Amino acid sequence: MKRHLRLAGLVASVAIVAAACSSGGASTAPSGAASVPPSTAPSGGGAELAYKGEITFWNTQRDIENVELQKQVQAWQTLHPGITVKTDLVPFDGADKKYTDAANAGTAPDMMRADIGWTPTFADAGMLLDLTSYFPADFQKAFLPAPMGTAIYKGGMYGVPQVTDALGLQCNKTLLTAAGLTAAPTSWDELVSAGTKVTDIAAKKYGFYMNGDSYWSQSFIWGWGGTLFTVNDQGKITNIGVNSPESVNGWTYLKEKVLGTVAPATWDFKTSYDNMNAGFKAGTTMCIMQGPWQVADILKGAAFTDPTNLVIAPIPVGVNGKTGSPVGGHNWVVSVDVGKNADKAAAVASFLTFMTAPEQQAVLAKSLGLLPTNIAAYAIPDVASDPLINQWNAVLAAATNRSGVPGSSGIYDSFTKNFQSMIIGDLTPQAALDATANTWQTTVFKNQMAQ
Amino acid sequence: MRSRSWVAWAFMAPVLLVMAVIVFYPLAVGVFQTFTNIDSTNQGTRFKPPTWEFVGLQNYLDILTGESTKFYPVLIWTVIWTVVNVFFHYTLGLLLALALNQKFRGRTTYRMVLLLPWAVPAYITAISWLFIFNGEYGLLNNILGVFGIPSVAWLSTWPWYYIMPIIVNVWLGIPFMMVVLLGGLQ
Repeated sequence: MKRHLRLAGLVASVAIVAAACSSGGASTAPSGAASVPPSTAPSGGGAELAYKGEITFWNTQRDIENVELQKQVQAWQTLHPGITVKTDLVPFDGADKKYTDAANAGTAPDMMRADIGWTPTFADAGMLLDLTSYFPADFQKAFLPAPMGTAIYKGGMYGVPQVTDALGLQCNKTLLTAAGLTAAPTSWDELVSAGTKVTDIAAKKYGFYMNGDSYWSQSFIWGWGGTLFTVNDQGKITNIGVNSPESVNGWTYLKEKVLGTVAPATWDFKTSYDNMNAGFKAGTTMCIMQGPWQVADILKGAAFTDPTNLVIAPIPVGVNGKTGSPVGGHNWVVSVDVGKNADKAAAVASFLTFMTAPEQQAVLAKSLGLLPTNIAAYAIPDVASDPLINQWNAVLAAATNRSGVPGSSGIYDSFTKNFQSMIIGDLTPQAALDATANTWQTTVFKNQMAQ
Repeated sequence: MRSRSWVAWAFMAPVLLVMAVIVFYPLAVGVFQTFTNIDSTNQGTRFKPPTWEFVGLQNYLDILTGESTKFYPVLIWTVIWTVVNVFFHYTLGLLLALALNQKFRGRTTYRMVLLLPWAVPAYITAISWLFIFNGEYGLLNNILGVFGIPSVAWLSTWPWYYIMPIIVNVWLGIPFMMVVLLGGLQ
């Protein structure tokens, strides 16, 4: 309650300042109120918008991220006097349920920052506006294909990618050198053979540390040519491939070649994410699979007081040059009710074009380390000169889409349980993957199998 | 007698009304829904018409006979958990209550300290015990390491992932039992 009052007060004062700063009438030139350079992106700044009033937005970012985002929101508002974007900070956990309830009650916000896993579910429920007609024909091509793919459902564009991430291989350069490598290993075989030189499991020194969550195990499925499931154009599942022979080979490789040799054979699953980070930060683990969201925290570790000691590379290949990393991220989505007001929809489209323009995404990349989804953003000097972001670009190029199907974020419960059973030896890889495929078919995707 | 009973009903009426709306009606709807296949995708929203149907006793049969729902293993574990916890809560609580019933020096201090597990917020308890049992860097493993015993992933290895929560829950519940029994003894 208090936070909303504070936020309302902040937005009100910003609106007053923005209104005071903008020169009285037709001019839309920015008056230097914001620290963001004026946008030269198409239709972000210039055209006069017919809509006047408020646009509501639910943001699931953390406070520190929202502060930076608001600077860009204010810049857009300065370009378009008379329109206010009212942001509500909503905690990420449970935001999808909150949005669903609001949409059903008719009180959904105009815009929402939706996880890519939620976007198809919202679109399938009919809660989102199809944005295809509100943007130029080649708008989609400006974005990286994997994040853009997460916003497409049954041929319509139901979101604009805001930020993307993928798991990459993060390594400690000092330990790589000790293991005889000049760069991060490019294949799992290479990682295992070099990693044994720096591994002493009893002394808690590891060549690699695995997270006990099935999200991390997906690279061992894709790297061996396996798939999770296949979706057709209608959003129906035509095939569940998680227990295919290739997938089983991948998990078998993990269990027999990686665990117990360069990584502990079994470990504490409850705290494995924190332990993985702690060991890497302390400099006792050579390589881990981790995402860009953790980099700021990792650089605080004792082993990375010199940031050049952190090496980021694509996930190693398994067999036949295959690799894959799960893509995560968030999309801007628009409520279907906005479509009833053409002026408001045009205003929202203008806002989204501005916020996803290369310049704006480059600013957030520099200040927060968020990976841009707009391809042109990577060419902007601030971003191009950042060695860490460049390394992530290589990771994204090799990343695989999480298949976007309604309810697909529900696959991980049974997936993780069976993964952990396999690690402690209760189930063979084949049995664990068969059980997973069975649960997906009978429970998670019960109503979505193609007949 | 007769003339008084309507007064009782009059006083209860508002409460019954509120409970009917908040408790009985949702309960009845819930029971009704167990005989259908309703879920979040077919329940009907302002965007899509409802498409759920009656399935009779199918849900009950699925739970009681289906393998994937794991009803029986969970039921068995619940029974074991309850029996073991209540047994240790009561016996250890009674032992401590009997001990504290005697007069000895420092008795008040002991009483205060023994109440601590109950007084500490559950959230703090969970984090602290999680730290103690951490398989990689936890306190318990560190202590065992001094004696040369190798680390164990306490919360991820059979049978410890059954035993450790019991230990923590017993630790949590003894103070309450102890206080109640002490009150009864005095």
